[in-house]
Amino acid sequence: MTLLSIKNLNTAFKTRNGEVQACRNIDLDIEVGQTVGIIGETGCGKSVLGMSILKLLPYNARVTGEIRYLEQNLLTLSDQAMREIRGGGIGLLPQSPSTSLNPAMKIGTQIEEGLVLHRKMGKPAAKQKAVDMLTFLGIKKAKKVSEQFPHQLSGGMKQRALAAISITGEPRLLIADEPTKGLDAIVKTQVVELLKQLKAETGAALLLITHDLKVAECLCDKIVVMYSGEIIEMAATQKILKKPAHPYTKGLLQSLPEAGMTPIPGQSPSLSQVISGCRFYDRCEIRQAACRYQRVPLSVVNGSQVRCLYAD
Amino acid sequence: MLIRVENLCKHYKTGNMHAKQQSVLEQLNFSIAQGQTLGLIGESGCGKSTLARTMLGLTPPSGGKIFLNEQEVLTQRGSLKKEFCGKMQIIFQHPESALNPRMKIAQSLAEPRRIQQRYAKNLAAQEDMDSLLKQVGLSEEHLSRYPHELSGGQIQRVVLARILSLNPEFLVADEPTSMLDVSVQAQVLHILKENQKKHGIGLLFISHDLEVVRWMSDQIAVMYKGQIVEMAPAADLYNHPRHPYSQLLVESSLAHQPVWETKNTEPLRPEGGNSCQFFQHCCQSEEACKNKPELHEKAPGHTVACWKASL
Repeated sequence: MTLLSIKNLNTAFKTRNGEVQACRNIDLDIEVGQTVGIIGETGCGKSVLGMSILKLLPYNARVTGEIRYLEQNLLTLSDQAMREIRGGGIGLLPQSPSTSLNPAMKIGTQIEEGLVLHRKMGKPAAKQKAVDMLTFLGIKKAKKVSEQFPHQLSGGMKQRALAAISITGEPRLLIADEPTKGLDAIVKTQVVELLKQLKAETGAALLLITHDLKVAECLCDKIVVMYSGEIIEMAATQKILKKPAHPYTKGLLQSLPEAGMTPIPGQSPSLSQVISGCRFYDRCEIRQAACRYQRVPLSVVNGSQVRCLYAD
Repeated sequence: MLIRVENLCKHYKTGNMHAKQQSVLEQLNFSIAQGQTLGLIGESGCGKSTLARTMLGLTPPSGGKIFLNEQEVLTQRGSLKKEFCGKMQIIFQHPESALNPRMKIAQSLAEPRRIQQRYAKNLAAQEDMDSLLKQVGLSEEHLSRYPHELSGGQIQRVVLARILSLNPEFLVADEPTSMLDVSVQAQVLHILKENQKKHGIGLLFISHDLEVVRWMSDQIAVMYKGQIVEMAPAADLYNHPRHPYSQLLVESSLAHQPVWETKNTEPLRPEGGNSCQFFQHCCQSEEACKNKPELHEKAPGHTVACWKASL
């Protein structure tokens, strides 16, 4: 069953220097319990896609298209109804654990908030539940930790506390926005393990936004590669990592340290730039004259969806 | 040796009435030759960044000496100190805070040489700047921009160009790419490695990504709680880690599996405090480990601080 279905989503920001189009014609389905990874470099619009789903964008954003969550179109939903969905239906695990917690509130209180709001629990029950959740997420002495403030915890523990907050409303979809950015190897494996645990426990679907291909490989069923606001390739995880079809995906895999760190030449175009043809044209190795002017649709090549005219 | 560190220590005092001394760096000894790269890995909070800052004199050490070309660095004052500052440079982790937000890129690029009083004529400086920009893969149009108008990868290139303008002899790179994505990381590191080899710069490369360190370094040192627990040639360390902690790091980097199975989560050492730092997390710890192990050479060029390390 399809949990979330995105159709022809366009997100643009009005700025002084013209319109910046961060997401272009995105089509994406997430099944119940599925883990979908969105990978791509900084500024390719992957975080904006996540925030568009939750409608957490600044006032100058213009979102068109359709985001269907269980038969409701989120884009036409009222603010009141949207508030129920955020946290209750779709949870968010934000990017940096150090800045995402309220520094002036105890950890326990921050977890209780969601429990009281979404699960209509009483205060004492919520308090106990918060401690239980922390214990479940592998924090020893959870009672003590729930009485502490964020600055007293290590990065890994803050990440756990945030994870606890994100699942208080028992969401059916969890959006994790770069959960492993800037973490060391050991904490990173802990976070990967934590996400696996969250999924196993709640059965929620997971939308993992990351640029770490290894983390995506460990967690995802399906990987979506974004480049300059567009989806350029979409396939099952092993398929994309073993047999990438789009030249950008190939370049991305070759720039991994274990593959010899061969960089892709050049830089991605600005999101405000209007390009009639393929957006990867300038950096592409297999470009042809036709790529320059012709709009390239997503087409099926060997079972994966690829936005390239000459993918093999 | 280009740079040599002898018994470098750093303690911090915490508390007032019941002052406690916390040791961040303990008796570090190592050296880096010209054109060589020493990679430094370890988890967050193990003292990697403190070491970087201490080596450049940005934080005063509690003890120990640092020699650049056999000259003591940290005791220098005045114009000599300034000269050493020009020879030893650092790339910081966060690109967004590396440059002065109110200076245009051109001003930022000229600043180090103005401080070091190393320019002859404006014209020559201008030409020089163009060639610097070319080296790091930026174009002239970037000169008139402000840092917030550049991406993280571009800023790290600007930082690199600034550093190269001084022709440093020794460079510390403190996780220069942990905030960048893989494709940009590859670009920046290629530029760094190329220029390092070309100019024969000694490099201390700090990172927590083992794959990246292996690609960059000739030698790798593993740090745990302020001590170097293992030091070996890059390939050797990666293929045969001998210290239990290094083994853990290599395994978790290869498998992305949690191998962090600890006996006890309290990061405290047993009473007396003279045991091996890794005592409580180690799966092989025994009686002998209650005495602190020193770095011993277990194989040619491969030193380990562990009583149990296999040969």
